[in-house]
Amino acid sequence: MAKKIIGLCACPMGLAHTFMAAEALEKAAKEKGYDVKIETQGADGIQNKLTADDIKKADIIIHSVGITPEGMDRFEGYEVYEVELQELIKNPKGILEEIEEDKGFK
Amino acid sequence: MTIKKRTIGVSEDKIVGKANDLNDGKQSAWTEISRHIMTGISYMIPILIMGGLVGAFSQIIPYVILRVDPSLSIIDALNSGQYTGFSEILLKLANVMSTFGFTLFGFAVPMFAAFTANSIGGKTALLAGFIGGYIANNPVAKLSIVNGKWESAAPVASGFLGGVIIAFAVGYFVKWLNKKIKVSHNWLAFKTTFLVPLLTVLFTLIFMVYIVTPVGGAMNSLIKNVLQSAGKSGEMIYAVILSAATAFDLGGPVNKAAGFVAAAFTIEKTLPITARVIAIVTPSIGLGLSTLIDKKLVGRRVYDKQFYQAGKTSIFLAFMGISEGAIPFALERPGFVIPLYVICSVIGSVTAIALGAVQWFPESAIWAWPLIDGIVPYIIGLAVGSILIAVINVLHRNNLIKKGKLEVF
Repeated sequence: MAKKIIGLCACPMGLAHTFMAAEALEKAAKEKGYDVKIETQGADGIQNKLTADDIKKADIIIHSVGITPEGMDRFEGYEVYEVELQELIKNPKGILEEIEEDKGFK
Repeated sequence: MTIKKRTIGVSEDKIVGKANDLNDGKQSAWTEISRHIMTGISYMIPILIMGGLVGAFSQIIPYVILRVDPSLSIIDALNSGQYTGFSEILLKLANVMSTFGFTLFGFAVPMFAAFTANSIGGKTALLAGFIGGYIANNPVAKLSIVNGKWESAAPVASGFLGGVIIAFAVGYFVKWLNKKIKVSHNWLAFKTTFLVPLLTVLFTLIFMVYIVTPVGGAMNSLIKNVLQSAGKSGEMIYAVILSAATAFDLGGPVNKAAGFVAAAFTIEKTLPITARVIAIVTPSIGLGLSTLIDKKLVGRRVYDKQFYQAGKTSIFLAFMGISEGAIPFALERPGFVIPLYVICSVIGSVTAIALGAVQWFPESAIWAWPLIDGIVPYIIGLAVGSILIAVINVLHRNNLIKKGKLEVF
C-alpha cells in the first residue's frame, strides 16, 4: 500500500502562499507515489480538514505555516516536520527527499 | 533549506537535513515572534476590510454620488437644507455607515491583541489580550487632582503599539503561569478556572493602566508631534518609508504591518495614506505591463509563456486594489525584481505627492479614485512608477537572455 503524506498549509493572508504551497506539495508527493491529503487554512476557512484518522494513519506529517494554525491539538504527540512556505513552494521535491532520508524510507 | 522536526506538545524543535545556518537559536526565536504577530494580523485583516468598505461607501454616497462640497460634513450637508427626499435618506444612511465603519475599526486592535496572545498562551490569554487591546484603544480613566479637586480623565491612547506590547506580555505570562504552577490532579480545575484567570486579569489591569498606557501614549504623542512639526519634509520621509514597506512583499506581512500604521494615521487625519495606496498597485501594474510591452520594446518574449496570463491577471487585480497578482514575478527572480519595484514604487509615490495628490481613504482600488484630491498627479505617479518597472525589467531580462544567462520557454 502506498505510504501516506498529510500536510497543513496556512499563511497570514490566506490568499496566495497557502494554496501555492499546498499545490506544490501535492504535486511532488503524487509524483513520488504517495497518498496525499492537504489541509489549507486560508481566507476561505479550513478546507479539506484532516481528521484524527488521517493523522493517525499518516506516515509523514508536514506543516508549512506562517501563523499558528487552528486545531493544533489534533497533532498532539505526533512527529511533525515544519517547513517554511517559501521553501516548500520553491523546492517541494528536495524537501520530501530530505524527510524520506530522515525517516529512513530509502 | 531548513526542515524542523518536533513532536507536538512534547519535544522542542530539531533541525533535520543539511541545516545551513549556525545561529539557528536566534533565528527560530525571531520566527516564533513573527508567527505570533502574523497570526494576530491575519485575524485583524477581515475587520480592516469590512470597516474600510463600509467606511468607503459612507464617503462615496455624499461626496461622489450626491456631490456634496468636500469641506462639509454629512451633518452640515443635512443642516444646509439642500438635500431633501431620497438624498436626505441617502445622507442619513451614509452617516450610519460612517459610524458603523468606525466602530468596526475599533475592533482591529483588540482582535489583533487577542489572537496574538492566543497564539502564544492559549484561551486564557485570548480574553486578556482582547481586554488589553480594547484598553489600548480606549484607555481606562484615572483620577487626578485638577485645581484642587479630584477628577476622572482618560489618558492618551497607546493604540496599536500598546496592543502589541500587551499581547506579548499577557501571552507569555499565561504560558509561564501554566508551566510554573504545578498542582495535583484534584486541583487542576481550580487552577485553570480560577487561579490562572485571576492572576492574568490582575496582571492585565496593572500592566495596561500603569505601564503600557503611559509609555505607549507618550510615544504615540511624540511620533505624532515629530511628524507634524517636520512638516513637508517629514511628510516626504513618511511617504518614502511607507511606500517602500508597502511594495516590499506584495500584500504580505510587511505590507499589512505598514498598512496598520498608515491606517491609524489616516483615520486620525494626521497624515494621508497616498503613498501607500499608490505603492500597493504600482508593482502589479508595472510587472503586468512588462509582459505587454516586451515585444514592442525589444522585439522578443522575455518571460516563459505562463507569465503572460499572469501579467494580465496582475494588472486586473491591481485595479481591484490587490497586490498579490505580482507574486509569481517576484518569486521567479527576487534578487532583481523586489529591489526594482520597491524603488520604482517609492519614485511613483513621491512623484504623485510632490505634484499634489492626496488620498485620505485607505483603498487603492479604482472605485476609490473619485475620493482622491488631485487625480491627475495621482495617475501620473502611478504611470511613472509602473512604466519604470516595466521598461527596466524588460531591458534587464533581454540583456540576460543575450548574455545567455536566461532562457525563456
